Amino acid sequence: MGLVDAASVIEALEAFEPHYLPWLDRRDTLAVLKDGALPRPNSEAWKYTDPVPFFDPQDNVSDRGEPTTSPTTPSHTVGFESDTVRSLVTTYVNQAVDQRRYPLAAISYLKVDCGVVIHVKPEDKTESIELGELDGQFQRVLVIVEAEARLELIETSTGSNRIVECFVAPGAKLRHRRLQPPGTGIDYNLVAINIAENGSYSLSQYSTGARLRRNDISVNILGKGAEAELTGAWQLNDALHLDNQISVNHMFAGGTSRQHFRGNVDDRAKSIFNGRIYIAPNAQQTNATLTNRNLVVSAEAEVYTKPELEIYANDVVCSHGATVGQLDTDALFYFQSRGIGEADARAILIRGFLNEVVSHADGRALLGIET
Amino acid sequence: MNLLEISDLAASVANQPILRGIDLNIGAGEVHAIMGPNGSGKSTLANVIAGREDYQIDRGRIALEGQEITTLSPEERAHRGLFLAFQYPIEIPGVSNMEFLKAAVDSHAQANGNPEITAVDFMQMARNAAEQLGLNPEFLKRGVNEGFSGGEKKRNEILQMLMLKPKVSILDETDSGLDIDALRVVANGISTFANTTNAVVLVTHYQRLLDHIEPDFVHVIANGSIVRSGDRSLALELEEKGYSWLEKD
Repeated sequence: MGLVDAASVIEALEAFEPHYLPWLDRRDTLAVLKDGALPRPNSEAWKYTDPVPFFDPQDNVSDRGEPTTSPTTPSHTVGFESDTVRSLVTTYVNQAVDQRRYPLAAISYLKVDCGVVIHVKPEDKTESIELGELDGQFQRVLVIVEAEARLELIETSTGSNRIVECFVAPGAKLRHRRLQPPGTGIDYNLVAINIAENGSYSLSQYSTGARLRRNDISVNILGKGAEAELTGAWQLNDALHLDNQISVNHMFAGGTSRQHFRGNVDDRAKSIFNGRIYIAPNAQQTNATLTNRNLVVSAEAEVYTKPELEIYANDVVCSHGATVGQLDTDALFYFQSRGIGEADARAILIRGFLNEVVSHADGRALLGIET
Repeated sequence: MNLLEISDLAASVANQPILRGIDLNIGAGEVHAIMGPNGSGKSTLANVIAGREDYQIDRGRIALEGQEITTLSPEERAHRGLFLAFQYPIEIPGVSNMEFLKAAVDSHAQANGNPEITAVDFMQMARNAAEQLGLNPEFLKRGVNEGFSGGEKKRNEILQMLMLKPKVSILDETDSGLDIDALRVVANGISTFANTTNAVVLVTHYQRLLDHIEPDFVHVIANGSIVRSGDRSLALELEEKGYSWLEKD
């Protein structure tokens, strides 16, 4: 791993003159980065993914000038540049993101070149919004679901850096499906969610890898009865790389979170998973679970998985588990003894393994596990 | 011609000899019982015939309808009409019983050059088989053996046999874990299936299954060899005297 030359990164960021949204206040973000927040190679958060390529000017820290608008702007999404959403943007942006913990999101904020707001009120009766590719290298999406409103967001993105901030107001419900097709480049993604009292957020994330792909997910449980349900499945082939770092932060009593992630890793692919549950001293009666199960079907594939618990309250229910295993030879023989050839048997077993956390047809299609 | 011919079969697991020269001929329309104490090699014999890779064949041959199958893969043996009902059926969450059965039935059709069965016909066949074994058809939608009781798992094995219509069925301890009623249902399923063109081999420790399915031949395995063969009266003698008098021979 190389070294991040922090001074030159900071210098470039300070010299950067934004064309997009010059009115956005970037000073605090720059201060955080100057204060030493840049990722360090070999640090715990970057143990198995080299952060240096994320700073490569060719790949990332480049000013692409005046952005064009989204190629497919769905209804209910409004570009940051529109005056009608300026107050929403200034009120909400970075409220769900801990920039010290997520410095790449901070850099992405400084360089933002495409932003959209999705704002749903209870009277909107919006059932589903599809958000596809956006035309920007540093994308920012604000999803605001007002009290008692409901939204299903179906998001597809490849090869871009996208920071999605979600605000789930009291009693609101956000179902978030996220499809990540294979990418050839380097992409950094963060989903940061604030969930208020009795709010409910669910994530169904279906991923393949990229040359380097990092998914950070940060969930803040901020009220009694708030719920987060995170599920995800990935299928990695070739030499693709996927690093999922999840942190569920119970900041308030009486919240619930469930995390269930599964991956199948083949060829020379590399999968990293870190699932953190943080329970603040006042977050009593929290119920939090986390499981990550991995299949490794090639001798050259690599899997690193780690659950991480930080519990400061004493009246909580919390469980976690992580496994890495190979296909069960007894199960393979069972299939073969019924006439199902080894290759088909393997495919069905992998499908069965991932199916436990895949509940959408488009997810199955992306992962190549359709029946 | 015999359906299954086993001659001088010796096999080992992790270089430990388990079978020490088995000879066994099974003809069409016959029901055989293979009995023996725990650890005698009964289950090893069943698994070696089915082609399990963990076992090393040291010598001898296995032939199905006159054709040697000793070096064939488990799926090729299955396609030629061999079936093993597992002593401990495997649980496979995430794969429905229906999907599993369909893949199995389709693989047989494809390997034998038969047309693929339509989805409607397949469903009908599976429902009928489930009904025959006293299983709720809803059971077909559940994960393979997932959360099934011991009895349900064994019935599921027999259901697969009814769907695949093998020529030679080897049922490894299918009676274990069954209560009296389930034993009767399973035994009825096997008896109904057995006919003059196929053969059934019951591998069992106890003779209680044989109260329901009368075997034509009974063989006793001890220390990896068949030490005695006879008719049904041998099973009754074993019930009375145990196995030790044969092991001492």
